[in-house]
Amino acid sequence: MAKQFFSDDELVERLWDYENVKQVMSKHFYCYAGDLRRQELTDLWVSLPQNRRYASLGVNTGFYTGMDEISNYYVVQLSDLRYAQLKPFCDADPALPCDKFHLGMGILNHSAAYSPLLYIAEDGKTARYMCYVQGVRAVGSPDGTADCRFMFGLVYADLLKENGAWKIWHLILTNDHAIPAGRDYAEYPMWRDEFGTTGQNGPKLGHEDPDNSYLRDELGTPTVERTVYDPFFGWQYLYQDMPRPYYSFNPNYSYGPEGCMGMPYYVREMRDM
Amino acid sequence: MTFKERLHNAIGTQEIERKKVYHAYVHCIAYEREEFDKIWFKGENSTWGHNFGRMVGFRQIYHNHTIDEESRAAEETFQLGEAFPSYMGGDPRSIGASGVHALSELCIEMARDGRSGRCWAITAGVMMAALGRRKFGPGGPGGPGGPKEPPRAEDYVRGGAASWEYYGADFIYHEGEWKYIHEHVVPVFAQPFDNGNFARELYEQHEKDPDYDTWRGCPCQVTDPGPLSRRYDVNQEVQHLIWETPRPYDTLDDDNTYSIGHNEWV
Amino acid sequence: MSCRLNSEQLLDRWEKRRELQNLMVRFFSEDYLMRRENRMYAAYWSKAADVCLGVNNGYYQGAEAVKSYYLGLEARTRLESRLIQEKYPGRLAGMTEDQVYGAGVMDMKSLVAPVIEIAGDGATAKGIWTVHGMNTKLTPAGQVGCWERAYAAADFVREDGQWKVWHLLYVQDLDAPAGTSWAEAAPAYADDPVFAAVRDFQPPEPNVKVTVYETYRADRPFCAPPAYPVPYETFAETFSYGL
Repeated sequence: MAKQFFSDDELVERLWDYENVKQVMSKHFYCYAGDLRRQELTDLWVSLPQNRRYASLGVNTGFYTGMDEISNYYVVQLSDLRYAQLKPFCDADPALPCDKFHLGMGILNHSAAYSPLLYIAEDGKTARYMCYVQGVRAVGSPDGTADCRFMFGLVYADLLKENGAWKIWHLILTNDHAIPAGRDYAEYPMWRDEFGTTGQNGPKLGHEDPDNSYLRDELGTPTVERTVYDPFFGWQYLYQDMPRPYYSFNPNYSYGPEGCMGMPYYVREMRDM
Repeated sequence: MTFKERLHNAIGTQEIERKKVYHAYVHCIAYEREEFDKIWFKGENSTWGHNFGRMVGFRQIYHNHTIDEESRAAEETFQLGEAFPSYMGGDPRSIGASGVHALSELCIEMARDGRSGRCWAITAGVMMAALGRRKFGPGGPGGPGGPKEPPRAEDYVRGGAASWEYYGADFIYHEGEWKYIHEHVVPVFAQPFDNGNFARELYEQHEKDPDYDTWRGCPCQVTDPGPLSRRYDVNQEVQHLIWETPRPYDTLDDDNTYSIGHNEWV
Repeated sequence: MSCRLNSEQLLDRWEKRRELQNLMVRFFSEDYLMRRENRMYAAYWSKAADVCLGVNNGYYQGAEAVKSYYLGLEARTRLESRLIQEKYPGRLAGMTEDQVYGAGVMDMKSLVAPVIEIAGDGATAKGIWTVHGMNTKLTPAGQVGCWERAYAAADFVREDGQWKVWHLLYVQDLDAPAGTSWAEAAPAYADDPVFAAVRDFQPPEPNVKVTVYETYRADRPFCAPPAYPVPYETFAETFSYGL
């Protein structure tokens, strides 16, 4: 057997760190599916002021930074969206109150988080996590129809230990493909290659999926606008994005806005120079 | 078992989980060199099985997965680059890839001798790409007898399908690391997103042809040709095979393995 | 809690947590796939009198009721297998009832996103999993593939050194044919006379009839997942997934 790097007590603690990080991220998906986003921010995310300031939530087109911005996007804008989605039901049935007790009518939001890959830093203070989500979402209408979609995307997170408990610090929820149920994806309008030969380094953000306003509306206007994930290029840099064994947190390679998500590998190689 | 032995197996459980998941991702992006070089035991009793048969020995596994796949990927990417300029020069293995072999929670058992671990999981796979495939068909741009002009963007369509399988895998503790020695893949069904119903289509196939069979032969060179296991079909009996979840066990042998006859590695 | 436990005790709890993981994968992923409904009760359920199984349309409360649920699954499978053998004599001819059991109908459930808590006293545990499934249903018109999205949440009790299911909540969020929009009616295919008998099959009903969870429809009131477990010392101080 190889020589031990950690003591037995440290190894046992790290066994539990692994399970606890995985568990915090699982809880995120139940909160996400249940529209319990305020509960998620309160219970699962960092709470110390110095960490809240540098917390971030990434989407395809950028990062929301700081808990105020995150809360505004993740909770308030969702609440507005849910009221807008409830309104047609209330219009169709005047007896139905358009209030918080009826939010979510006609909504299906089910995320299955596959393939969690995670590492705890050697210093034990932070962890890096990635998984792949196969979700389904539907938005119903009072006429009995619904916009039903299979939703796919990779999720990345940096977590840190606050007072002995693992907390989400940087989270990235990417969107890959949003495929309408009951339709052939091959019939979907094809992507336009808007970057020419400049690849991903042009001034524009990543490709927008034509005919997919359902997704685009949800991304909002991030605090830091930048291509975090472009589904047109798919998982080209996944190998560089994956968590791997590491000693200590380095913002240059984090899943926050200072990190290198969305950057080509040859740019990342120069990050510490 | 002593505390130290139990701790060794507990760490092994998490390492096996990581290796399975790592495999799921790197296989998806066709980083086969990283997959096979980094996490496989490179011996004569390494085996990789599938419905179509079993590759025996690391050399056969590596060749089938790596050499052939890389040349195919490079050719496809250069073709894509002609139609979509920003693909030109991109990583030919991973560009545009997404989603294969999403791995469910694993059932893992570690040998009491601490030298191996066995695991089982479902992969709810999806095979998708922004630039999924060229339109095929007789007379079409990519089809037999079709025109030979350079690829054009309008020749491509998106691709999306579910492809579910289940895995049985054996790992060994070799030179201080947990490594794959056996993997068996049992593909079960594939379902396009989202305009068909695979079960209904199988039912209708059997209505047209009572002898219809899902077996499609073996696409590559393997030591043990299949079928070793079968896809779902409307007349397929349940397969009570060795590819079931592992039970608590003492040591990797022919009674506790996903590859009978290939359990010596020292 | 962990600050009071030494490393040996923590390792012991870690092993018990993994036992639960293995149990649920065997129960939901393997045994449904291998069509072992006839052993599920004996293999996984507690001997306690107050076992409880909650499904979308009610609760099977008590041992006899829970058993009846699995006997219903088994009876349905036996019927389906007999009809499928009749329909496809070429491949299935000559097989015994046991050999043909489960043929032609698939039930694949993958489990992800576990949240597991073991009680401080070690006597019970709780867990929730997300279920993503694909199954084929035998309809009077033949087999149809259906997507399943569900949650499996359970209370476990330690019996004879093993975890056993005490209360199980298995609720489907989505149950819809593949290739259709989930709010639409299922496609109407022409009946196949061989399979007509499946229309008349009635599984045993829950003995507590109540809407536990609604599967998706366009005007469904919002349905959040069952609550995930939180750390607890004894079962008396936490909630139950049963009645």
